[in-house]
Amino acid sequence: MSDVTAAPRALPIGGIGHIGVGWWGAMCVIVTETALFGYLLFAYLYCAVITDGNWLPQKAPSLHFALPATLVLVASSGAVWWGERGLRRSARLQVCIGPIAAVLFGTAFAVLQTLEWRSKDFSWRTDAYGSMFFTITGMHLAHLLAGMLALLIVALWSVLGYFDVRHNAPVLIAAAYWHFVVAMGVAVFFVLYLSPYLLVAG
Amino acid sequence: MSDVERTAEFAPASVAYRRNLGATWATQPGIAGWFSSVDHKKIGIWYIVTAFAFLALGGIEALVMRLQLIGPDRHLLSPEQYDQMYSMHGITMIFLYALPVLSGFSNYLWPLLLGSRDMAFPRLNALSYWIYVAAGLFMYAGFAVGAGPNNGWYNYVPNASRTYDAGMNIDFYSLGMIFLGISTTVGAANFIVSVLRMRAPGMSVNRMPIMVWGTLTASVAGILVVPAVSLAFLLLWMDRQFGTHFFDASQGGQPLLWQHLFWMFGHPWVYAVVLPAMGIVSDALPTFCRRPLVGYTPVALSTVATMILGFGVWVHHMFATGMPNLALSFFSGASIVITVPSAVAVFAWTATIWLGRPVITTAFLFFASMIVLFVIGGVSGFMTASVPVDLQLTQTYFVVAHLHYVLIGINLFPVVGAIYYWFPKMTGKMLDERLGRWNFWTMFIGFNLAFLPMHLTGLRGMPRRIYTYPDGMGWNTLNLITTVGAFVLAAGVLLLLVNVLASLRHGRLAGNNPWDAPTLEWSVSSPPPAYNFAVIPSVVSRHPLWEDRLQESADRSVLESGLVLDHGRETIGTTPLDAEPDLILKMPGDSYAPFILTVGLGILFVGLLLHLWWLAAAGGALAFAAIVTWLWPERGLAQLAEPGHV
Repeated sequence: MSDVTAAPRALPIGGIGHIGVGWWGAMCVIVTETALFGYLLFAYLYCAVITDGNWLPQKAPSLHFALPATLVLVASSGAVWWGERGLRRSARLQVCIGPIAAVLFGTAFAVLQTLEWRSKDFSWRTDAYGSMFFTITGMHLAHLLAGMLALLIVALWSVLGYFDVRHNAPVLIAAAYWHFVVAMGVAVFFVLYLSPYLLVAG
Repeated sequence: MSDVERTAEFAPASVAYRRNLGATWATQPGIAGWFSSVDHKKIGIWYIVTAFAFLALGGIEALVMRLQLIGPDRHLLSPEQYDQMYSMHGITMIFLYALPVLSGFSNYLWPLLLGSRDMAFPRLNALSYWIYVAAGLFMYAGFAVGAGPNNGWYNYVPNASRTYDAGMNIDFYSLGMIFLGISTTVGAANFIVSVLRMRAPGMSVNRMPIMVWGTLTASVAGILVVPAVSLAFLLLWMDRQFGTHFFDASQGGQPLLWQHLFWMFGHPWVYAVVLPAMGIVSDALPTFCRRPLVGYTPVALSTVATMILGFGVWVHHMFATGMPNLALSFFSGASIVITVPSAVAVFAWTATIWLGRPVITTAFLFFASMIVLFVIGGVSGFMTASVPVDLQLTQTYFVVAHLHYVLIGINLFPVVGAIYYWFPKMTGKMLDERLGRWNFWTMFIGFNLAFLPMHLTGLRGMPRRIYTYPDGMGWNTLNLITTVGAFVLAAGVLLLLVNVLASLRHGRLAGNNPWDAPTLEWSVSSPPPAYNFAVIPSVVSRHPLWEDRLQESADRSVLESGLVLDHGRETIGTTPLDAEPDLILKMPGDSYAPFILTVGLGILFVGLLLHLWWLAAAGGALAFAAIVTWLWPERGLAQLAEPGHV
C-alpha cells in the first residue's frame, strides 16, 4: 500500500465526469434496470420453454415495423455519442443538438412501436403471450420516454451554459442511460422478434 | 484559489476550525430539520427507531396468533383475521424490520467506520428512509381498513389472483412492495457508491470492517434481485386489475413463474438480512475478546461467497412443486454447499472467543449466543436442503422453527447486541448492564422455549398457516409451551425498551471509547459531531486504535491531523481499491426534495390503487418536479461550468 500521509496534492473538486460519485450512482441504476429487463426476458423465455410449442401465436411476429424501429434506435445512440463529443471542445451547440437529435430518433421509434401495436390482432388480455408482448415492449417504451426526458433536460442545461470540459456529469449520465435504453431495445428485439425464427427453424 | 482544483492542507484541527465546521454541517433546528435533514446519523437513528416500531407491531401480531394457537379449537380470530395477521407478521418482520434495521445501523455507522463525513448521496439517504416509512404506512393502511395482505408474505398464485382473492388486500401488498422496492434500491446504490468512493485514505479493501463487507454484499444483491420481486408484484397487479394472464394457467400463463420470480429475490434476500448482522458480530465480538477477529480474509471472502451461492439456491423453496429431478439435484447440492462459507464464519467467531480473553458484557452475550442460534438454524436448514427430507417437512412447523432461528437468531440477537454496543456512541450514555443481563436471559430463554419445541411440532406433522387445530393430534402441549415462550421473548424485548428509555435519562456517561474498541467510530466524541471527523483520518491498518498494542507494523494511522476541508460541506473521495484520495466531494445541505418526492410517489401509488388516474398523474408530476429540482446543477456543489471556461 502506498504511504497515504505523503504530501497532499491538488485534487479536483465536485462531481467531475467519471470520477464523480454521480456517475457511479448512475451505474448502479443502470445495473438494477438491466436486471429488471433480464427478469422480464427470463419470464418470457420461461413461459416459451414450459409451454412447449404452443407459446407463439399462429405466425412469428412480423419485422415490418420492428426492424426499422430498432435501426432508428441504434442510430439515436450515435447521435448521443456525437453530442457527448462536443464536451471536449465545450461546443455548447453540439452538446445540445446531439441529444435533441436522439430525442427525434426516439420519437420515431415510439411512433413505429405504436403503429406496430395497432397492427396486432391480439391484445394484452388475449393470452399470456399477448400480456408478455405488450408488457415487455411497453416497459421498454416507458424507459425510452424517461431517457428522452433526461436528454431534453440535458439539452436545456447545455443551452443555459451549465457545462464545460470538466462540469459535464449530467451529459455523461444521460448519455449512458440512453445507450442502456438502446441496448435493452436490441435485446428485446432479439428475444421477441428474432428468436421465434431461430426456434421455428430449429 | 481556483474552484476547480485545490490542494487541501494536512494539519491538525483548531478550535475555531471545528466551530466553523459545526455550523456548516448542522441540521436546521426544529420541525424543519425533521423533514429536510440529510445527516446520516439522524437518518440512521430514525431508521432504527422506525424499524423497532415495526418490530413491535409484528411482535404483537405474533402474540395474538400465539393466543389463538395456545390450545386446540380456539376462535379468538376468524380464519380471515388470522390470514391477515400472519401475512402482516411476515411482511412486517422481513420487509419492514429486518433489512431496515440493518440499513439504520449501516447508515449511522458507515461514514464513521469509513472515516468520512457522510454517505455518498445524503439526499438519497433521506429519500430511502421516507419511502420506507411511506411504503410501510401504505401496506398497514390496508390492514387498518380490514383489507391487509392475507395470502402470506410469499403470496403464491393462484390464491393471490382476483378469482380467489377479490378484495383490495393483495393490491395493497403489490403496490406497497413496488413502492418499498424503490427505497431498497436507492439505499443499496448509496451503500455501494459510499463504500467504493468514500473510505478514509489508506483504508484499502483489505482493511474494511467486516460489517462493511456484509452490507456491501447485501447491497449488491439488492440491486440485482429487488427488480425480480417488483416485477412479480407488477405482473400480479396487472393480472388482477387489467385482465392480463401472466399467472393464469387457463390462458397460457404460468403460476410457477410467480414462485420463480419471488424466490429469485426471496432467497438472496434472506442473506441480505443476515450478512450485515453477521458483519456486526465479526466486528463487535472481537472487541470483547480483546483481540482481532481470527481469519479476517476468509470471513470477508466467505461473506461474498455466501451471496454468490445464494443466487443459486432459490429452487429449494420449490422442491415440492414437481420440478425435474436434475433441477432438484442441482439446487439441493447448491443449498448444501452454501453451509461451507457460513461455517467459516462460525469457526472464526468461535476461534476468536477461544483465543481471546472474553469480557462478558450484555453485548458479548447477545453476539456469542447468536453463534449457537446460527448453528441450530443452520443445521435445520441443512436438513431441509435435502430433497427427501424437505418433502416430508415442507409446510410444517419445522420450517417455521428453522426460519425463526435464522431470522431472530442471526438478525434480532446481533441487532440487540449492536444496540448495547453502539448506543453509547449514538447517545453518549451507557445502557444499564444489570438490566441488560435480565434483558438477554429473558430473550434467550423465551426464544428457545418458543422455537426449540416447535421443531418437534413440525415433526409431528402440524401444518403451518392454519388458523386453529383439532384436539387429540398431540400438538397441544407443544403449542402451549411455544405460546409461553413467545410471551417471555416479548417481555425480554420490552426490557430492552425499558433499558433504552431509562438509560437515556440516567445512563452513565460513555466517553469516546467505552469498550476500548479498535475502529474509527470510537475515535470521535459520543455522540459524534455533525461533521464526524474534523480532519480526514489516514489509516494504515484494520485496527487504527489498537496499533500501539498489536505492533503489527511500525506504521501508525494518523487521526489527529489530516486533510483540512472547510469550504462548505466537503469530504474526500478515494479510489475504489487502494483508497487514495482522488477528489474533493461537495456535499449537499438540508433539502426538502426527498420528502416532497416521497409525497409525490405516495400520491401516485394511492392513485394507482384506487384507479384514480388523475390523482396518479398529479402525484407523478409532483415527483418529477421534485426530481428535476433535486438534480438541477448548483454552483455550491461545483456542478456548474466556471464562467471563464465556457
